[in-house]
Amino acid sequence: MRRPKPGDDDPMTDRLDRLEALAAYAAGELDDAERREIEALMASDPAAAADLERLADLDDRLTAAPALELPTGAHDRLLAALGPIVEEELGPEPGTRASRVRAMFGWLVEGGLVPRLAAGAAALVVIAGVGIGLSQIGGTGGGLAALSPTAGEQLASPGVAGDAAMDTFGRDGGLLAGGVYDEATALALLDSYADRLAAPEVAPGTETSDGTAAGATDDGGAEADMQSLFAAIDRCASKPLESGPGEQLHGELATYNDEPAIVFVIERPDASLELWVLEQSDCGILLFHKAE
Amino acid sequence: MDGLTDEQLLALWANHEASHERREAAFRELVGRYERRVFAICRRILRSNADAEEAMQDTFVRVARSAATFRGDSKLSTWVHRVATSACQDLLRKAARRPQTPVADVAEAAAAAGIDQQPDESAQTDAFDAIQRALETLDDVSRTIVVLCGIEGFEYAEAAEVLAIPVGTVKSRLFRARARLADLLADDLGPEHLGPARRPTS
Repeated sequence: MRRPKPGDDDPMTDRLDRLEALAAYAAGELDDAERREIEALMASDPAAAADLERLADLDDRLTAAPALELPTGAHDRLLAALGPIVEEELGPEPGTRASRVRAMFGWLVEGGLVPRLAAGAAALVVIAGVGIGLSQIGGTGGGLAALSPTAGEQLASPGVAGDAAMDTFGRDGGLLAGGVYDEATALALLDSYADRLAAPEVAPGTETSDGTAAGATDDGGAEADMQSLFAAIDRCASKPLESGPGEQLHGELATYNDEPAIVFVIERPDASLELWVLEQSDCGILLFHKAE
Repeated sequence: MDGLTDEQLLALWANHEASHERREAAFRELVGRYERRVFAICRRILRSNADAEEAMQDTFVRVARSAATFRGDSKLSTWVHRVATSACQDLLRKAARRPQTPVADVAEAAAAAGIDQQPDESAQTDAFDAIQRALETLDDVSRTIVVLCGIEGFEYAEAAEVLAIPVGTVKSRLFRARARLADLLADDLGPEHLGPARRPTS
């Protein structure tokens, strides 16, 4: 670093230059030549040594500056001022954990299930039963509403939910006959889903299909419920599904036996797969051929 | 929240997947960890408690809003202090553009507005008053450098990062500022006026 050389300017500048050089010397920031020059100056000029003392004194006083505490009430005023900003950044209060489920839903479709399906898997678990035909139900809304099984399908995943789902299909001719919801209904469903997760009604001692205990009801349990849901969906998503060109995937909200559920539909040119996430413990997979 | 690092707290605040409660708690914890030092720095750079509080509030508003932009290239503390000094510089620039009120009118205006003109609670002690007044004669950047390096104990490199200027500039301006302060305070410094830390004990 280039240091100013005292002695070339007016007395004031000269003095400041000398003090600056001394400050750099005191901080150990001079090279050997500059340091020797300052030391020679101090040896020949007692005023320079006194200035060095002043600089050291100044540094001590700066370091020992009295601590500045927050003025009375400043903390509260700060929080009050930040309140609206925090609210704004947090976004609307969800009220329930529906927003988390909503976020999860998008994540599954956009980042979880689709890549898995796109990667393809070896075996097709979903079995088409005999006598499959499709009738168009509703015809609006696309996705699930456009598809409906008739009696006779088999559920590939032999779970409790699957059997019950079959009953529903067979009875009313289409689980999702009214299953494409407007936004308000869909959000209400999500709320309902989240509420169920917050207080799962699982008998003590029962286990979910992955062997984890279920039924926690305290706050810590709510977090565990979410993890359980993720695990359930992960199990469903990891079932080996055959994929092929021209597939499209939709996510839908539905009810199953009047309970909220999440359905993924993989539409292929010749058939559609439905992947149901029912409660936290099971999923069913159905295959329907499209009607000619 | 106690066990989380500053960086983890900011990440939690910026995580929209986390619950509102946890995000808000994380942000409050961050505010609690930094508010005193941010206030102290701002108070040294600015000229009143009111200005320092305004800069402190502005600092945390910016931190709240731009948390997602923090990339971890520097320590969070460096980033927060950079935001704080920037808020102070903005306030100083704003004040410089503001019409000046004659000193004699301030008390009348304050009385008319019902503002209590009591001295700041955190006003400097007498021993430091002279230094604070001398500090206020420095340009804004030099004063900030003295506050950061001389009072708050920042390393040259961290002060350079906070102010986004080269380390060499920090050093040269700091030495020049010390020279000016030593000159201004010549009558109060030195062997015959040794500060407490250098006063002989025997």
